[in-house]
Amino acid sequence: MARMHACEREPDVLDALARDWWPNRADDDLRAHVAGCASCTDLVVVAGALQQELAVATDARRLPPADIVWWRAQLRARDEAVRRATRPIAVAHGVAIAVSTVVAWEASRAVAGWAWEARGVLAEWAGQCGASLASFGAGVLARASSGSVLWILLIATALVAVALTPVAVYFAVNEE
Amino acid sequence: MVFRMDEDAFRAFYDRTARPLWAYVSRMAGDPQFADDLLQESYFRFLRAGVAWESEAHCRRYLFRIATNLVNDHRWRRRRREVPLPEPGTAWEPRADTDVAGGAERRTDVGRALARLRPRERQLLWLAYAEGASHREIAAALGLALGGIRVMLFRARRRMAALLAESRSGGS
Repeated sequence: MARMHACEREPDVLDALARDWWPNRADDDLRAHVAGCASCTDLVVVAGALQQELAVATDARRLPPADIVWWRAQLRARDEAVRRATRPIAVAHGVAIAVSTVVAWEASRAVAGWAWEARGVLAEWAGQCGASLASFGAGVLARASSGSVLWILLIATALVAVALTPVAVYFAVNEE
Repeated sequence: MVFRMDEDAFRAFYDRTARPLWAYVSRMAGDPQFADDLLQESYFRFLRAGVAWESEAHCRRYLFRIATNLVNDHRWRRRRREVPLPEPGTAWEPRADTDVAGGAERRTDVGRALARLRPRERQLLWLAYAEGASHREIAAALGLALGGIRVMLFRARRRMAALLAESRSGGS
């Protein structure tokens, strides 16, 4: 089994490679050592190959200038900042829409039920008193219970809530 | 000011680190085109992190750590264990204007050997021998325990030496 410890002369070999002294300008002693040391032979082969690879890679490629990289990073950071700042407002908007929808639905059911009962009472009045005013009121309530006027009012309320909630959130979270 | 580092400091840092970083990510990802994107992304994340300027070496380690994580993320997304060897004429193929025939052949061998290593072995070897990083710097850049670096590096080196020998002797 091969030895699992690095040779103590590896730093010397790496130094010679880094200075581009290997093999011609390296000490005879070091060259003799590498010739007989499997670990240092591997080191020369691998480190030498990778250093050549690095030299080619760094010489051959045209990289974007620092100004461009900086500018793109600035733009992206600003975009992210805007997204972060508007996220609570978007969330509040969604919540406001959901709450308004539920409230509108429940309110419409309650008012429709009330109008239905009131129409019955007024119809009874009309039967007893024959008053034309009661008949008129029953007609109005019947239209309201059918939904047109009621829905318009509820939708308008919901829209106002949806529009005002982000503004309220903005003032609530704004520190200045 | 969006970032903690100012533009002049960044420009100086970029000029000193961009080429080695690009070489690192292109060899680790195996795709020079993708390396361009990784380069931009690495510097963006570095700037966004607002790393305190303790020293050039510290920032450099941090930058390489970011790049390593990006390369690893990229690899996991592709769900491949090894980066495939690019087709001739792309990533590892030497450039005609910068090489002579012998050097070109040798570097093709290096590219093939690198491609056959495990990603962690590639990273270790590149940082140690192309970048000249110390064991401590390698541990910081790769997020590994310092104690294991020596043995992992030794094994990776032996494996790559064997692959290079195999490649140069005409084996597949």
